[in-house]
Amino acid sequence: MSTLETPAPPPQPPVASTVRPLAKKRARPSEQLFKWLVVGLTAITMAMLIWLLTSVLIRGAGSVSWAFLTDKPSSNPAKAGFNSALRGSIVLMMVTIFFAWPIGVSAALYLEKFAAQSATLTERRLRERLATGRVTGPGAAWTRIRLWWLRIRPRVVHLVDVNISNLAAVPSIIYGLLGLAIFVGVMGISKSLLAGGLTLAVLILPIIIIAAREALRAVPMSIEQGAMALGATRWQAVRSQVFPAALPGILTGTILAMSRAIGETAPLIVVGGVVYSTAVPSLNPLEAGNEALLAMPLQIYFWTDQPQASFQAIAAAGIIVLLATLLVMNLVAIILRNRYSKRW
Amino acid sequence: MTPPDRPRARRSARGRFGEKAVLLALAAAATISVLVTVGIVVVLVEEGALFFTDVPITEFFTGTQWFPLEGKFGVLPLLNASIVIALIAAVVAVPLGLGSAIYLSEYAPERLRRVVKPVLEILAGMPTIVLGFFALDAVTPALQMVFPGLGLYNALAAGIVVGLLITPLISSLSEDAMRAVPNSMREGAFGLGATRRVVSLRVVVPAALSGIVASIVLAISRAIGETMAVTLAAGTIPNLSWNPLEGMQTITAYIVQVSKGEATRGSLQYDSIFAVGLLLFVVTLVINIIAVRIVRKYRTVYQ
Amino acid sequence: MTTNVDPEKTAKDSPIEIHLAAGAADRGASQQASGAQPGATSSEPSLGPPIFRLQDMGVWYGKHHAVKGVTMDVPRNAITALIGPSGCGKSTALRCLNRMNDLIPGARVEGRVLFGDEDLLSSDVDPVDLRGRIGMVFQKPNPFPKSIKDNLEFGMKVNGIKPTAERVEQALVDAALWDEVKDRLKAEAFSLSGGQQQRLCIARAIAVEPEVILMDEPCSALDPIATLAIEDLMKNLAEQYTLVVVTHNMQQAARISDQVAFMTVEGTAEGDRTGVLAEVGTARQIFSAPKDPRTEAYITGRVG
Repeated sequence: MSTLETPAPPPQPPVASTVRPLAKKRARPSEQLFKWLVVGLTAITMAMLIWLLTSVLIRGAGSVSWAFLTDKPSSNPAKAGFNSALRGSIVLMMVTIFFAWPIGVSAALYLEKFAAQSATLTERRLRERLATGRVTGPGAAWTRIRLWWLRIRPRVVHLVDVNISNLAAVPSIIYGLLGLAIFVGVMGISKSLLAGGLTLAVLILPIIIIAAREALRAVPMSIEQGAMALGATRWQAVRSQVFPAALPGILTGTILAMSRAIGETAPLIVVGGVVYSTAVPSLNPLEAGNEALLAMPLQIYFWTDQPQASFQAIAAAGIIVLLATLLVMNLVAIILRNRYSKRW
Repeated sequence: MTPPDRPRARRSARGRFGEKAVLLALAAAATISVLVTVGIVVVLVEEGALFFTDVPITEFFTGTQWFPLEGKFGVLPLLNASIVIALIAAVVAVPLGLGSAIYLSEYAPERLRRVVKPVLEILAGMPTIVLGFFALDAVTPALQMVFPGLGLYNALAAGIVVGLLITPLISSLSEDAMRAVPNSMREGAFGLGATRRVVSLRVVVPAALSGIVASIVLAISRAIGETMAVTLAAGTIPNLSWNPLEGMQTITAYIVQVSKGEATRGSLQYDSIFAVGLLLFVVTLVINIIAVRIVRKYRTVYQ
Repeated sequence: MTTNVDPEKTAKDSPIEIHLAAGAADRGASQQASGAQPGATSSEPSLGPPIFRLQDMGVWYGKHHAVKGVTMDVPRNAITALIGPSGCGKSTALRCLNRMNDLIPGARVEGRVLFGDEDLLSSDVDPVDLRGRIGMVFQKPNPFPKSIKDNLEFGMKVNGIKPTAERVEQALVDAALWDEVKDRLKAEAFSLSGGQQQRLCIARAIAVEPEVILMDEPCSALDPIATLAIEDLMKNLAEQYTLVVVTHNMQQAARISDQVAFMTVEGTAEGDRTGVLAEVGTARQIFSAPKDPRTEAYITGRVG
């Protein structure tokens, strides 16, 4: 073994003089094996996706045509078209978004921007009012109720939070049962696009609330505080500054929620059954209450469930149209996010 | 310009009233989300109660036969089918999901990760009807080459496609948990002479374990509630069996089967879908609560 | 004990530990320049023989030349402190010595780092094995989220050392932590205070019986009392190990180190900011008679 020694200062025996030679790079079979294992598992997942897409494409591409998009359903697979299903899905989405968006975004605004804010000032003001004895009778009782509400509000908001995240994890078929019992059963709405749209609105409500809250949270507090420092009330600050800044994020989340809704099948079956109809739904959403519940996934299910192989081809064609729609929606969401997302 | 000595303005009563109204409207919207939960519970319990006036709850939970037309309402075959398919799905999804998560978090170069991750998430957004079609049209025929004599409807194909559906759920949430493990911890292990495999398996995975376990639990809950893929692929014959090569009907598939036909309101069949729906709701809710507990209890907070 | 003095090496390498890196663009020139200052030798207390010889070492992060032209020796069984203003690449330079930079995508190390007489940067050297021999302690205490005992045993198992109770105890004793934790070895490492966590990390590094311990600002996240404890520990460790310590704290460098290397930042024509070694010498020389004006400016507090 060689030692490195400097000639001056005079050589002194080092405490531990030898440095062992460095180990040469060596193959570690377990290392390589593990790396290939995780690469392989990722590759298998990707391969399954590719298998899925190609098998659908091979089966259905031949049946996708302009006529397929514009024709009515038919019991003859060669003539059956996807037009009714397409129109049904469009109306369904209009109904869904009409109900889910305002409610979801309002709930998000309240939870994120008002309920979660500190209320110490209001609380002190109410306490002083009680202490001075200026309010009596029902006025005092009302003040006490408001104080009590302010005190329990954080806990209530927390419960609502837990509730919303739990709702997002409820199986979609349960929403179908809810829609069947409430919209069809109690409210007496016919098994129509309206009933289906309302059910899907309830289904995506928690998704929209969660997405909108995240978008609102991404807007820095300084924007709001800046507006309030200029004398704006919180609502003015939120409406004029925070909400516009969060809007692209909210819209992105909304589109993603809609892409969940447009592929949902089970709740629609529970609400409306699977009806064979040759009707062509009107695109006017105000007519939705009178139109039979038709939608792309329902039509695909109907066709897939038929024993004849020729229906499998048009089912695959329907899937191609559905996936293309989803692709477009996701692209819009991505563009929206990339274009308008701000770095704070 | 206002003179500096102007008296302090009181905000106009009208403006304040308008704001209160807006605030009230927003609060009402937030209340709706609570009403949805209340609605679900009330509907399921109320309609389910109607069912249990006709069918004793003991028979429901202990009966081994589910033939509604013959008045046999033992839920075990349905529950068993849901569990069997969820387990097959987990057997497929846990290795695929965890392997992908470890690869993406610990091995993949950043540029590759940015491509692979969204591709995996396509699977998560795939409508389940598409997976059902895929199971019937491609997976079962492929399985029939391995298991000759395999029927068109079988739990295995259903479990595999449901597994595919929940794989991105596991990989995405687990990867998030693994990436939340601070880099300093990896460096500490590398600095001691650990290899990448040891760092991944002995440091990162244990540190992210609560998130990983929660992701698996959530994925299983999702698999139990999955409907269309299992309806199409596993069939509609109630069958109390652990054999994945047989067809079986899950809770969700039964609800679809009844809904497809016109079960009249008030009939025992109509009520039965709310009873099994209640069971499904409780099972998934319990699993979700377990997942949240796991995260909360074992989460390590890194500074 | 055999002492092979390689005549060629002797002729080439400078006899003293002070290299002025000002002219370090050309390694040979630098060696000669420093060799041309024999006067410095007389005031040198004896620093041991070198364990590392850095020769024109530099680091690239993609197109960013983070550190360049570091040429110095690191004496064995002594404490070498790397000081300099923040962003001067001290930590980056330190991370070359156990190939931690390999783990950063896009990082590239140039030059040579002789460990013994082999270049540890060479591509056929096993970095995993190397890191078992050259331990590292980081800026923020980074125990694993496991028990104290598991933290110590992890490194031993990784390096094929049997994790006996005696070894665990010895490492904790050496890291001056034993008395505080001997009754709760199964406790979570996170339950320790910051200073204790850092000593646990030192114990963890010692437990694998390394030859060198690299420390990257080990006290910067600690309070003054914990800092003093770690400093005492470092001085004790220097009897057995070679320590290379990055610190931004000059008082600390003065208190603990035998040799000091001062690094600074140079702007390049392309607008890049590159860390360079300005001066290296014994602690006494650097703090009492710095040769480089930049060193002097820094230690007298005029810069940085």
